[in-house]
Amino acid sequence: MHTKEKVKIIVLLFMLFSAIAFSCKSYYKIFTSNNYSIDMDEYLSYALAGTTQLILSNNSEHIKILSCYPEKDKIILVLEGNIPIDVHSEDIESLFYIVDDYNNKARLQITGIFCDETLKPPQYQWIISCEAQVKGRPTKFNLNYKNYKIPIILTNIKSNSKHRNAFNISESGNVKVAAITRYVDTLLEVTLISDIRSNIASIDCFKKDIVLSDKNGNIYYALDRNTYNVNTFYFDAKLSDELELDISSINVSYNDAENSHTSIMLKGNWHMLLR
Amino acid sequence: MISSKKNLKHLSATILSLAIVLSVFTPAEASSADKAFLDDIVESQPYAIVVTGADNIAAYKEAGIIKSYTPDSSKLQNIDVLKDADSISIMGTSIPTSPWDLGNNNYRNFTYSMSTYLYSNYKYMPDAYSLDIWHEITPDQPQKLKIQCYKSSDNSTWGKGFELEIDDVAYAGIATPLGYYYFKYSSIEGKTISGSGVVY
Repeated sequence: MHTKEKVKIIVLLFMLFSAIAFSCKSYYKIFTSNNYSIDMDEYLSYALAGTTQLILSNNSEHIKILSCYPEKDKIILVLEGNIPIDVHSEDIESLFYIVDDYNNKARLQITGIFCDETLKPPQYQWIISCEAQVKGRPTKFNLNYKNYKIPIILTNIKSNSKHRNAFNISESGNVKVAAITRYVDTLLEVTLISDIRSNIASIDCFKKDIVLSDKNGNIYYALDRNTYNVNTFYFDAKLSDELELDISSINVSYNDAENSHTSIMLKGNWHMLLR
Repeated sequence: MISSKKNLKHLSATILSLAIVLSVFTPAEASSADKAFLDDIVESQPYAIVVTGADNIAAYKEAGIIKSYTPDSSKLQNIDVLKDADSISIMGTSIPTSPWDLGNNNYRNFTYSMSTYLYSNYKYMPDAYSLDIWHEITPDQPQKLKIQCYKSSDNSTWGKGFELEIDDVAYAGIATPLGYYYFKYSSIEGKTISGSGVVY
């Protein structure tokens, strides 16, 4: 073989390998852009580590992300807010959507709405639990509300936000309970409330059946204090101490077909992280 | 020229991302030049993003969403003690006149205790590269705190101020063009509140 032919072959091989390398690079980029580089088991350990809050300058309105974590191909969120919304409207879902760095958008599907509609601001607050079907395994994305963007970073550190402030207490049925929190003076006010879109007419929880504990093992019992709601309790505790609310019993009244109430006392050992 | 345009574009993009995702004070009484500048960097409505929880803050810092400062033991003496008129020592109850340039990691620590309001001890110049002023606030107790930013040049408000309900370390950033700005901190409910913080 002549030297010229050898050079030609070397050049052709070089071009071929360059083309393959370029293809691989592009391929690799596609995968990393969707975060498939994170193993699914590892991804499921990711969550928002604390809270992230949008505060509007007018009237101190806010939306706070209490909980955010992946579950298979979905992102689960629990939002708290006092921005006036019609909690019975089907249009609530159109207020929010998720968008990642690659402009992949996902609408939220609401799985529970909790609100004491008798209250006016500043007491008026709502909690929404919802989920969004997402592409890839995103760890960094925005929750968009109207023109506002709330950045969300998921991490795999232990202090995450899973099952915070809202959960289903019934193993067989659908009894979703949420805890709305705020400070009154320096006391922590905790109000338990049921999903307003469910067939539950009311829930009742007794003071003796709930207790708080913090990260240091301190136990807090509800204080004796007049409340505007039978399910509102006051504690001398701080949310920043990573509180857990333990509930041992809840009386649930259902709206049945005859428009009368059926009450059932549910007993269990439920734990809910609070923020 | 092209390079400077590119730099400007890059700077604008950086400001845009900071302004949108972090914390924005829309100027209520900004000059037309400033308004034109801000039209490019802020959305129509003022808002703030407050991130709480040590682990959460670390994650947001790592992602570059929260700006960091480098703790420097030689700056421990830079602590401003802010107390309102109800306290023994009266400091920070008048508009500050001393300038402080926050560039080059030149942050200031402060402690506060008040039941009404107080002002920052300094009027701050933001870092020329990031064009924002950040607060790290660690409250001593759950509290409702309002932070209002002012332009030092004409004492006009910079944004409408934000009311924070905090019980844990919190970060808030404000997009600011070059110039001097000072802050007024108020106890919203008139109760005595205290804590510490860093301006950077």
